[in-house]
Amino acid sequence: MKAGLFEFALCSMSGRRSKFIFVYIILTLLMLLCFSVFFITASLRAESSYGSEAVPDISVTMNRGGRNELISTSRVDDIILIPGVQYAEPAYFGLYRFDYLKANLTVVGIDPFAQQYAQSFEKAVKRHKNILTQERWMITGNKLADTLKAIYNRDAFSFAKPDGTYLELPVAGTFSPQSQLMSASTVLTDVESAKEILGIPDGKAVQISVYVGNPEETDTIAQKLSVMFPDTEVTTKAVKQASVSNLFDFSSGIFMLVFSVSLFTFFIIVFDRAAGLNMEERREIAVLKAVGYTPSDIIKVRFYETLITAISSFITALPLALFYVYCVQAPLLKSIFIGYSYMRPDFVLPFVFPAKEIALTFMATVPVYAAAVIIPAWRASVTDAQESLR
Amino acid sequence: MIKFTSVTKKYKDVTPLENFSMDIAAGETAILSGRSGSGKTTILALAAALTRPTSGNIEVNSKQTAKLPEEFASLFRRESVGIIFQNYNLMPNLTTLDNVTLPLLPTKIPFRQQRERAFALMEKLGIADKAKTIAGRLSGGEQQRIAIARALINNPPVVLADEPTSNLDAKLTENLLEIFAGIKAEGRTLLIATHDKVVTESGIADKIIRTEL
Amino acid sequence: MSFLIPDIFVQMILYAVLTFFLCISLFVSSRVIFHWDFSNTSEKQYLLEKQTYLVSVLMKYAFAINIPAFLIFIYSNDKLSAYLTGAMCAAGVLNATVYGKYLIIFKIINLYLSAVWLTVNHFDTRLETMPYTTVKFRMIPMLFATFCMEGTLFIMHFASIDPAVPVSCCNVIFAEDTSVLRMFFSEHAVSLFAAAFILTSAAFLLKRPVLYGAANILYAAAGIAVLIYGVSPYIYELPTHKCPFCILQSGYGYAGYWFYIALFGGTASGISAGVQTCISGKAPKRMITVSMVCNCAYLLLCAWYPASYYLTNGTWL
Repeated sequence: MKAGLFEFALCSMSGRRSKFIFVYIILTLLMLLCFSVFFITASLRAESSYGSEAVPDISVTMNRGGRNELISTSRVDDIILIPGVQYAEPAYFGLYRFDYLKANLTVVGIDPFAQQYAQSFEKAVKRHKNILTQERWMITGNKLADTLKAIYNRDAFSFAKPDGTYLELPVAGTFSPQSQLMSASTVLTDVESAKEILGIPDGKAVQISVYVGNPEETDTIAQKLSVMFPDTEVTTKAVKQASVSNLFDFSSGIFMLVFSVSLFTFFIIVFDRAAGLNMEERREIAVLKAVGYTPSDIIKVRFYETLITAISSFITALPLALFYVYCVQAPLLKSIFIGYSYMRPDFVLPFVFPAKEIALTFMATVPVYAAAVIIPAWRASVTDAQESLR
Repeated sequence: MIKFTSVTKKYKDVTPLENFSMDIAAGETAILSGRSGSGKTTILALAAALTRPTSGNIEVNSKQTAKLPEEFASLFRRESVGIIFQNYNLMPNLTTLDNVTLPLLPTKIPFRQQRERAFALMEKLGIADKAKTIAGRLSGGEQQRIAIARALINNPPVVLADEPTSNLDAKLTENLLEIFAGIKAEGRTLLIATHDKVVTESGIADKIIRTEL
Repeated sequence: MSFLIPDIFVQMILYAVLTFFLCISLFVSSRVIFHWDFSNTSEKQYLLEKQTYLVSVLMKYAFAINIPAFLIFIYSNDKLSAYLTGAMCAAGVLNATVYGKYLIIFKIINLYLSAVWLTVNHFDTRLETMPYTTVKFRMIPMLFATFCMEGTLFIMHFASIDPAVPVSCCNVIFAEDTSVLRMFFSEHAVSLFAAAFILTSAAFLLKRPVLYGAANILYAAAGIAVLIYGVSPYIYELPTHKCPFCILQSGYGYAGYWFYIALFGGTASGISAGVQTCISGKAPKRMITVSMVCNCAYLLLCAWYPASYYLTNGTWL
């Protein structure tokens, strides 16, 4: 790098300020869009991986004619005999429509005496020893607890049962899962209460959760299960996680399409702006060549100009995007990514340092900008030097 | 130093130069004189390798320049040729100092040395006090001296000047001729294209080349 | 659907730009091949000279983009391995479709070809008579063809990845008993590599640049083989783990990047120097020296891991 040429690029840019400010603003907006989308998806991906702690190694659900039905708990006894299965239990969970918040709460029934596979559940049980002696209780996610406190301000909560009667549960405490979504929507209760709230008859369960000692054997055991129970759907943790992650990537895909159209527009605009050399600029370049600037020197000057613009855009857009996504929680964009379903409770996007996303945004925008400048820069660099004599 | 051998330059519909030859020895000062449109500017452009001839040979500073690709033509100018333009062709937004050092920016010469050279030249030409002034705000005479400093900063053996007196009054023309005499005294080869009688008759020229076709 | 994953999408954007630029280069190359005449003084010839300059700028851009694009490619395959059952790193993903293998081969070929092209270009533009212009523009159609091949394979590869189908992990792919060729490579990797290095050094010491270039092709292939079968188990400290991709992961301190930088730097400049000597008859001495230094660095890197393992554990794997 030649410091002199770099300085000259700075000088000549300040002479054509308006041209660069325009490109700078558009490029910053473009990077902002790209950053925001990538940050949101990265955050959601992290969120979904936090949430998957509650997913068992293998889940067995009943599926008839495409309908999800309750599974009979007696199958647990058969499953537990399969070699390699460490533990199997019926699971009771479901959504409870909470009209006041216009959101669905997730009600999970757990047995405090059994081993908890989800770490946050385990912690909750350990923290609130009193539930061991109580018959009915509930533990809410800490975000949800704050909300409920603001509405009711008492230590109990009434659930409407499917038959129209109410079930009041005393709040035993709160738990704090890593997943923000879980924290804002999950209620842990004893199994009996969960069954009553969700309308699950005795002898039935939502699914059977199977835990495997050796993760290498998961696929084999899953295969055995689907052969043993042809009327069930057997899903492994890996498949479930993959489908969730794909889902998030898919919605970012729509943004990729929007982004690519904007990128193409940006390319055309920059190309057009850079290509249109006026008489003054042509003369200036001709003079530079006449005093001994080679075409590659002129391209270098253009390259530095591009670099300066791109880097300034980059260092403007990055903090803006971080602020937009993590401080103000991405208004407008967030709701698109988590779906329009407003039955989902609001949750905070967890912060993950988006190093990959930063690199990807750089690679998505800067080369395109450079590509748009390169041909006009060449055209300028081969300007007829004889024009300097006119 | 500058040798044209039966050089022809054709554009699509005009032929400003046909079968032209000249030979200027090293250290000589030559004046190209002729009315406008007689090919003076074309000869300067060819001598500086700003354009290439349609046929014929050109040798400047013992380098064949007729077939030089652009990259090398620029390098050749950087090393061998300084050009003083008719309308000065300064970068109006840059300061005097920046204008003078402009040709040195792409070279490997250290920054400090670039400035030293520029100040030495500006001192000589009497514009050192204007070093920090934006070039566009200076008078015509001062601008021309910046242009001369810029042409000389690479220490070129060949200096070309295109109608240097066309924008100057009698007093400034006299000053300019003094500067040219100084350049000549440094042993540089000077080629001036002009139709100004004052220059032609000043006695500075060792040789007057008429371009009347 | 995988095209909408951000990193694959970014690669598609880069491909679009590169395709555009290569089309321009192809167009110019066709004009150069048929109309180039350096002694001609017509405006047309001057325009052509200017256009050749454009092509060299575009190719420099393409090369500058290709290297980070290659890293993103490896990275995106690595990331995809999380979605495919059985895959542990990029190797599994590349093996998931029939195109993956050829895709990475073509990507490597293209990197080498563009390095060769840029070398010829460098020496061409340093001379006032531009003597190698026609040669270097005859190479453009070939480059264009391999690039198109790469682009097509890229699309086919990512379009046909099916997350539902389980794939093999690198332990299986690079296992020794899958084919005769692999068995040969795995058994003789170290001796092959040693032979290639001796040949390379001999060519270097005897100042035979063309032979040196040819030896570098061998050195590149043997270098990869020895990395997979000879060195990588020592990096993983696991005799059964043989994979050229996992070494790029953070768990192994990104050691792979140093290997690949040294190997690519050394062999690409070595091969380019050989080709340049073929074309011009004059050997670019400095380039060959740089190449030899890189090749030696690669050898030392390869020796370092097994040696330090032996010193700490007192045994070979």
